Amino acid sequence: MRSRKLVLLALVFCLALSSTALAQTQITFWHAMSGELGNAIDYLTAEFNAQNPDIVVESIYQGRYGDLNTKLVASLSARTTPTIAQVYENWTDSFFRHGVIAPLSHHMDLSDEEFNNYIEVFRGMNTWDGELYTIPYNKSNWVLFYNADLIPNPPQTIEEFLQISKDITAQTKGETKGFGIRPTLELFHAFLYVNGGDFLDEDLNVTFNSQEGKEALELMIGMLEDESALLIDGYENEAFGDNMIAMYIGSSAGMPHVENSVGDKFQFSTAPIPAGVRPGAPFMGTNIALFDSATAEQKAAAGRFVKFITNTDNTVYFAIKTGYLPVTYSGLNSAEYQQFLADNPHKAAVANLDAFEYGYWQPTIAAWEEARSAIGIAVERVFLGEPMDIVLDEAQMLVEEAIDEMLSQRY
Amino acid sequence: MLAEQQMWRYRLHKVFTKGILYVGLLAGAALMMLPFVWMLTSSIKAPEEITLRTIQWLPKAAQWQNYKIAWEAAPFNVYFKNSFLIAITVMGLDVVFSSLAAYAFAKLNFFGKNFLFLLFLGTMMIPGEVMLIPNYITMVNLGWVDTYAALIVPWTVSVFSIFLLRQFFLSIPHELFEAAVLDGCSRFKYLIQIMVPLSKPALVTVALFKFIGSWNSFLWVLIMTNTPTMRTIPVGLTYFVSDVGSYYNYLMAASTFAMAPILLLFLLLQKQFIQGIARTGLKG
Repeated sequence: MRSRKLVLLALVFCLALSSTALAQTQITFWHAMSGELGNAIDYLTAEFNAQNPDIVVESIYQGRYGDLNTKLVASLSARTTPTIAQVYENWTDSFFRHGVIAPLSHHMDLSDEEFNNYIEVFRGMNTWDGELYTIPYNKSNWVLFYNADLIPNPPQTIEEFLQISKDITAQTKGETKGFGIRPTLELFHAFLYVNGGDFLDEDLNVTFNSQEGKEALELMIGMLEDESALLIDGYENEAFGDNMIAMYIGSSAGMPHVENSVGDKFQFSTAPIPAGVRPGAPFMGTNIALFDSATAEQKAAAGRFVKFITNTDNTVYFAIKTGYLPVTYSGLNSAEYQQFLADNPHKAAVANLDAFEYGYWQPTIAAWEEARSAIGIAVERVFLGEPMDIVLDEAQMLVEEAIDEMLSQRY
Repeated sequence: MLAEQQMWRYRLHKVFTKGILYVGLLAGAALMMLPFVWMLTSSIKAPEEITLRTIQWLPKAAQWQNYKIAWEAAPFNVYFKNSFLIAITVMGLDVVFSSLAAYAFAKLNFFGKNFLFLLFLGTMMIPGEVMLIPNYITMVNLGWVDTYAALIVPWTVSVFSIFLLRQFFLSIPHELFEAAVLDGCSRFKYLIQIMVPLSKPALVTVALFKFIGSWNSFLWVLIMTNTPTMRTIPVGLTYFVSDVGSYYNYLMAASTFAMAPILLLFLLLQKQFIQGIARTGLKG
């Protein structure tokens, strides 16, 4: 009798043990966030795990974005993908074309209100086939950083911008140049867009090799020629902090680095990129994708996790800790975030509400990795003094080839 | 009198040429030291000093806390433990396996020896990055992902080490081998008791190269592991670098403590290391 009781007890114990083990869903989240970002995501993960005993989320740092991409590609070949991962849009497109990701929003149990709460620009960047496939996470925008001691009123138009750049160089006898130019694809995009152009149109035709594109490049080269701008290699914030330039256009995600390089040397602030024929605010950053190899339970758990880390409180927490943007309207408008902006006026332009109205982003196609490299090299070549027409023609050819190849591949 | 004068002139000449030589060497040494000095002084700079474009050698006030901040930014104590464990194991096993293989290639005769050796050398032409994904799949199939096995086993045989040791072994006169065999020495005993002691400089060189290679290995470790407790120092160094800016002062502090063991190892073994490089004809 006694032994029977013991056996029964043992059985119950085993069952209890296995059922808790069974009920726990394990999911993995691969990301490229280190430093402050890493701490913030680790904190949010721990919070989620504490509040959801049936789910265990493991957030794993996988190096920088390039390393993360390599690791994702390797894991896809070996069928060892994580449940969710941080991805750029062009990676998403490639994964989408290969059919290896699932629409994350389907597993998040989003009401219409919650769905529309994600900022429209970000939804745009994350939509494939009419579905919100990935969820925006660390999003940043490009703004004009300016030395507020030298420039009390930041330029609002390209004309004002050119004039101020000239004035600063003259005023400081060339010691501080008005603007810093790092010949990158992003800077080209900024001037191209406000000049009414873009890289590609909706049908993926090349549009940067155009009047608008040439004017954008000529504008920058003209600034170097009349010495109202300085050509920079390396991070712009360094030349900015060192008083070599009074303005530059760069990512809001670089804010902590700007604060570091500037220190107490001068006051700085941010403003929207000066408007040309139209205003424009480029948005960048990564999103979270769900891999289709996950089980139904894992997909549901991942949905809950992503919903949690992007809820109002947590998107604000992440934004304040890291300098990225809240990804929802409720986060952006929350009292806490608005207070944060009021306390840090130099960050105000970063979350400028108007910017979301005219936000734009780089093409989100799989071929973009190759295309952007071709355009980036073309921009450098133009700055090295090679003939613009030839360089842009060549870049157009390479971009078209990359796109054709992408479209002709059957997945 | 004349002889004395000549003597003086000779001595003066000698002092002069030596002087020039030493000045030249000192200048060379200073030039080589420059990046290290820069690293050390940068590691104690304030953030706004480190990004100055004008050269500023010394910080206004030494920021020793940079080391503490850098150390705490990532689990460096775990990384150090792993780096040591992996680098020492890999180094030891590679020296053993490479000397065995090199001995066979240098001193033994067997069918297809030269073909095999060329095949080995051929593998050195394939960049590691190309092999990364196939190797990852192999590791997954072996179930080794996220284990020390993945970080150690594939690196215990290196064609470069075999090549380096073979060249050194070839320089040891074959007569020695014949004499030893005549005296009843087995092939294995000859390797252990004669070749290895004679090849100390080459072995030390191989060991050092291997240690440094393993110590600095980044992508392999990152791809093959998923948990922070399995990772090594170079992964920790990426914490300070991002696409929008880098924390150079912390990075320099972390680089300083990351390279300290290698520097120590080199200082201890530099005599053998230089001999090894000089005698195998591998320098520059």
